[in-house]
Formats: sequence, structure tokens, C-alpha cells
Amino acid sequence: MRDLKYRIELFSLYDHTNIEKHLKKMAAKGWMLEKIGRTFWVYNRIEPQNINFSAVYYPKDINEDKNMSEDRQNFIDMCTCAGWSFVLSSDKLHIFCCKNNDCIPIETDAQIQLECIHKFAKSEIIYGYFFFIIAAVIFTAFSGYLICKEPIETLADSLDAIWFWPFFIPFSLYNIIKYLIWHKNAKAAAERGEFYETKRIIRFEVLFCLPLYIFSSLLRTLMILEIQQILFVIFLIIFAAILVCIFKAIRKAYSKTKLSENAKLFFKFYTAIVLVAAYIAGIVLIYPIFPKSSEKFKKDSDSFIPSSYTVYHHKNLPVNLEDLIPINGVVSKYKFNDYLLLINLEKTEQYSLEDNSIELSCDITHVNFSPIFNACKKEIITISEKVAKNGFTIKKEADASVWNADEVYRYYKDGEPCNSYVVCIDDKIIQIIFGWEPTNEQIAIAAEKLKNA
Amino acid sequence: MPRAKFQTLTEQMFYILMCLKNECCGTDIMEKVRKMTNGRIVVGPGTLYNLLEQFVEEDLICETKIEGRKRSYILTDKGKKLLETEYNRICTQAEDFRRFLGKENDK
Repeated sequence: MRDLKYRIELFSLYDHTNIEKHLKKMAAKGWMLEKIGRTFWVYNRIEPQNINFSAVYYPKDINEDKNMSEDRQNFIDMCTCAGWSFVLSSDKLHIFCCKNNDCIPIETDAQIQLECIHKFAKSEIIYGYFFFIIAAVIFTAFSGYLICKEPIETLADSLDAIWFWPFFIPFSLYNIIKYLIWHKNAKAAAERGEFYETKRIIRFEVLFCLPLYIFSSLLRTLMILEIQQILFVIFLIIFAAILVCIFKAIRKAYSKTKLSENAKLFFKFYTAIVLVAAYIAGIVLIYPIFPKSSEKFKKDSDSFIPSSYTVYHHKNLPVNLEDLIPINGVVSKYKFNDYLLLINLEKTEQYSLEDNSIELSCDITHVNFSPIFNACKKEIITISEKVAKNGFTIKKEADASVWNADEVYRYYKDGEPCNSYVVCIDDKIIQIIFGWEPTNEQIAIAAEKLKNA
Repeated sequence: MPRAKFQTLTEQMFYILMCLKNECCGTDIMEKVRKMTNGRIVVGPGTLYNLLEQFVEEDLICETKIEGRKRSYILTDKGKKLLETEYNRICTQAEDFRRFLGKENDK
């Protein structure tokens, strides 16, 4: 039988009324609070009994001395003299318990109690969350500015940070407002000489924001993944769950044996290692069965393994070199990136196996969020201008009709036109480099393919 | 409108200050108040601790000695004056009550 219990408690720390009620209920079930951690509250097994609890806020700043200061100990002594037993401290919150129902309450003046709570809450809640809001607003505004200015680079480099910070704003605001409302009600009650009976205050960030963030991140990941990959992730979760169940069953079986504690511990440890090894082995065995990303493109050749691309059958690529030039044997590379669903990037490279100089490179930026289209276009052209040194320049072509596009930009070297273009078609910005001088027909075929890409 | 601090005293404040006419430590005050009022007024240790801190800050009481973690306090002149003011206020209230309602009650 387990002697320790870990629970995620959703109490706001100033919600002393419900903390006290909850601890009383837990003690009646045979669990006594042992530790208040950042995430978990730890309970120790005891005989079920009727115990009263008091959650008290120590008014002084104890930052200078994290250990039990003399003042604080003096405070605890006074509570002990009144019949209360000290349970634990968590920062400025002290928990006391009393088995006697006639114990004098630790707080007998609502006004004084509220002053203490407010001192504690001012630094922990109001200033703390206010700082979060300021940081989140600054970061979100800065991210917004960067997304407008350099959307592709920003979304590619700091995707998770951009996704994460805005979540701080609503939950920080909620916590501040929730506390201020509580304080207003408690103050009104204290002025009438009454203690405010707090309604259950749920920690919004734990209940709502964190699951929302995890869920949205998961959803985003699942949207990027293909069905085979999702199945693989589901397999990993189910496999892990089965192994955990097996481990629990074995551990239970060990606990019923008459082995010594050390022997049980050894066997449990040994079992855990075997199961972890089984998990790794399972992944290694099952992984080849699940097709990898973009496996919809059939591999051309296993003999060529580039470092950052995977070689896929070219016929499914957005633009196909063989459609433009009659050649045999093509090496194709394909890469796909999804940036926060606002932008997708497809990169393809193809070259002839017979003649390396016949090559075609095509980077397609799909802008799914139209307000940032111009910023994306500007960023691509600016980057191209920065990258294009040694006499390269990029100019807008007056006639985009050959491409059947909205806008076309072309590279020039020393005033001579090159075979590299930036083409804007619908929601796509395409950087295309031909390894040869394309004819208007070839451009028209490429443009048609890219329009449907 | 909230009252200015210690402009008027709550019952708990009044009895705590009264206990400190003579030197007394925190833990003894709780018991003294209970006895003084036949259990009508009880002062919780949390409330007492905070009030003692505030009284010291306002110079209404002062610390006389520290034995280990046991601290003793006594009323200052300012504290005595405040207690007397409060007593007079209560007496005035009682007097007013007698004048206006006492006769009616006698009838």
C-alpha cells in the first residue's frame, strides 16, 4: 500500500477557507499534508481522523532567511500554545492542525487576517502576474512586429516562443482580477467584522490555459504530421501505457512476496530497466513499418542519401524537371516545413543523373494568412538582395504574362539577366532557379504546375 | 468608510492593551484576556501576534525582555493614553445610553 500521495491541487494560495476544508477532508480519508510543492502537494498516509486545519499567512518578509527565523518560530510557538500543531510552511503560508474541536481559531480578527493575506498577495499575485503581463505584452508586440517585418524567419526561428507567450496574458489578467474581486468581498465582510467564506477559486492557468496550450500545440503537431506519423505517436503512447501497467502489476506482485525490502527494490529496478529496454526495442522494430514523412513521394534511389533532404520520386513534386526537359534519370530532393499554419515552405531540388548542370531549384512559400503576404514577399526579395552579391541585383519584370503570375522579379548579374526568378502566384511566392535558359514554353509549363502546387 | 488605524479600538485590541498594564508575554495575554472576560472574548494567536507587532510599530507598547523566543511587552504612555481615550469614549456612550434609553427601560 502506498504511503505517499501526490496530487495537483487547484487552490489559489490565498484561498485559505477551501484549503482548510480540503485538508480536513483528506485527513478524514487518511492523508495528511506533508509538502506543498510547485506542482504537487504531497500527502502522507495516516489513520483516518477528524482534524481541523488552519491556513495562516505570516506577515513578515522572510526572504532574508529562508530557514525558520526566530520571529517566525515565535509566531509558531504562540500558535502551539493555543493548542495548534505546526504542519508545514510554504513561503509565507503556514499550515497548522488541531485534533481538538474546541481550539481557539488562530485568526480571530477578520481585518487583521485580511491585511496579512493582502501583504502576501500583493507581492505574489498582483506584482507577480503584472510582471508576467508586461513581459507577455512586450514579447507578443515584438513578435507581432517581427511577424509583420520578417514573417518567414520569425515564424521559423521562434515558433514555440510566439505560440507560448500570449497564453500568459489572459491567465495573468484572470488571476489579478479574481484576487481583486476576492479582496473587495473579503474587505467588505471584514468591515462588518465577519470572515469571508471564500467560494472555491480554481487556478485558471492549471485548469484552462495549460491544457489549452498543450492541446493547441498537440493539434498543431498533428496537423503537420501525416496519418502514418500520427498512428506511430498513438502506438508509442499505447505501448508506453501497456508497459507502465505491466510494471505496476509486477511491482504489486513483488510487494506480496516475502522478499526483503532491498531485494524487492533491486527487482523493481531490474524490471524497470528491462521494460525500458523493451520499449526502445519495440520502437526500433516497429519504426520501419510506419512510413516516414512525405512517404507519399516514392523514393527514387536508396544509393543517394543527402544530408538534409530525402530523395523522393520526382513525379509527385510541384515542378517536374522531366516535364520541362526530355532527360532520363533524375535525382529529386524535397523538404516541407510548416510554420504555425500561417506559412508552409516547400523546397525542391532536381538534377539530371547524366548531366549535373541540368538542374531546377524551386522554393515555394505558401502564405495562408493574406495580411502577411506582402511582408513575406518583401522579406524574400530583401534576403535575395542580401544574398545576391558580386554584382547580382533583383528587378521587377514589367511583363508577368509569360508566367501568368501577379508579379515576377528576376535576378541580373552585371546587368545581364539570369535564370532565377521570384514569382508571385495567388497565395504563393516562388523562388525558382533554372540551370539553363528556359524558353517561354518551359516557363509557361512551370507556371501552370506552380499555380496548382 | 474604513476607520483610521487605532482611532477606535476593537474589543480584542482593548483587552490586549489592558493586559499589558503589567509586563506580559504573548502567550500569557491569550489566557489573561479569556479569564478577564469569562471567555467572552478570545484572541487567536495569529491575531495577537499581528496586533503586538502593530502596537510596537505605533509605539503603544514596547518590548521589555526577550528570554529565548519568549518576548515580553508593557504598555507605553502613548498606549495608556489611547486606552484611557477609548475608556472615556465607551463611558460617554454608556452615559448617553443611560440618558436616552435608561429612563425608558426603568419605566
